Amino acid sequence: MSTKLPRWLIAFCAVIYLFLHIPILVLVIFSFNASKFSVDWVGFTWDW
Amino acid sequence: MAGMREKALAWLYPRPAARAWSLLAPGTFWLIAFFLVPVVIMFAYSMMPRGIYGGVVSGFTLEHYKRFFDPLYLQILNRTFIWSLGATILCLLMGYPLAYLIARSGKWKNFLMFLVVLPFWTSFLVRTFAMIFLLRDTGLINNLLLKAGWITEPINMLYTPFAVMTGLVYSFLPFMVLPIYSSLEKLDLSLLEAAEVLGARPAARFWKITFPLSVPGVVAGSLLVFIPALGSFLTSDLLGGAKQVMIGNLIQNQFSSARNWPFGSAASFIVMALVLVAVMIYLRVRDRTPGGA
Repeated sequence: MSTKLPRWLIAFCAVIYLFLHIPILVLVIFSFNASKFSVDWVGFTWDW
Repeated sequence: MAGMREKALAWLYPRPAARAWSLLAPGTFWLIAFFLVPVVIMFAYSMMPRGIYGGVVSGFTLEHYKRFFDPLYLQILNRTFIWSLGATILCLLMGYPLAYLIARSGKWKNFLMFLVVLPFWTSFLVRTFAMIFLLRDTGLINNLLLKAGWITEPINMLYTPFAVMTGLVYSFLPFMVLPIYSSLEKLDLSLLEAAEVLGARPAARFWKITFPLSVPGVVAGSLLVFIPALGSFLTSDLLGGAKQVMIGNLIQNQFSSARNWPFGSAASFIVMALVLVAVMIYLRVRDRTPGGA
């Protein structure tokens, strides 16, 4: 029984995982953004 | 007090029905008090005239049901159905391969499953706001594309059907993965071995064995995505703006700003009836499909 998974399946799932986690990761990262409004990265801060 | 407990047990022991009911009582009470009673109240409201300041006045009318069959509302209903169906299909196309991979990933299984459930640790609202953050004109995706020089002006993504669809798929994808995973995980691998020994190619092994046996998971997942998608209002409200209204927004508005409770109730009942019909058709079709379980 070959249990090896095809490459394309692994790649496809990796993309789905990115889709699931990028929004949250971005939110976490930008919670340390020094800028008050914009999504431009201004600098790191613990202020929030 | 111990004596009372003994007595109660002695009374319950020879009476299986009483034992069963005493165990069912909390759940039954909960369902009646917080599900059945509100539904009955809503049903009564949907057939009563509207009060001037919201609420209802006594009387009987079917005008709210009649009012719903206005092209404006039917268009919203139609759109809601198409979007929910689209979100379900996209979730299936993305969730099935993912569930398959997780079920076959051996020692990584638990970790990969954990990653699917992880987004649930934050609230639905926060996740939707994260989507806004990415999609809006000054959002991350547009900013990155602008800086990379691939586009000269921001692509308008937020407040479009695309944004709503992305939000729906993003929020409901785990509901599709979980049931499919559980039916794929139970699958007896010796069946696949037998098929391989008998000369079945990978595609045949998948379509003749793996997929038919995972149909219960697909059905459960589709219902778990389709029904909440149909009733969702937060996603379309935040990502769709004023133009991409779904039936959930319409109903929510009737209860909040429009203060037309009876019309909101009537709309809810029409949607409930349609969901019931859709689910019944779906289950009927599934039962007639060969290989469906």
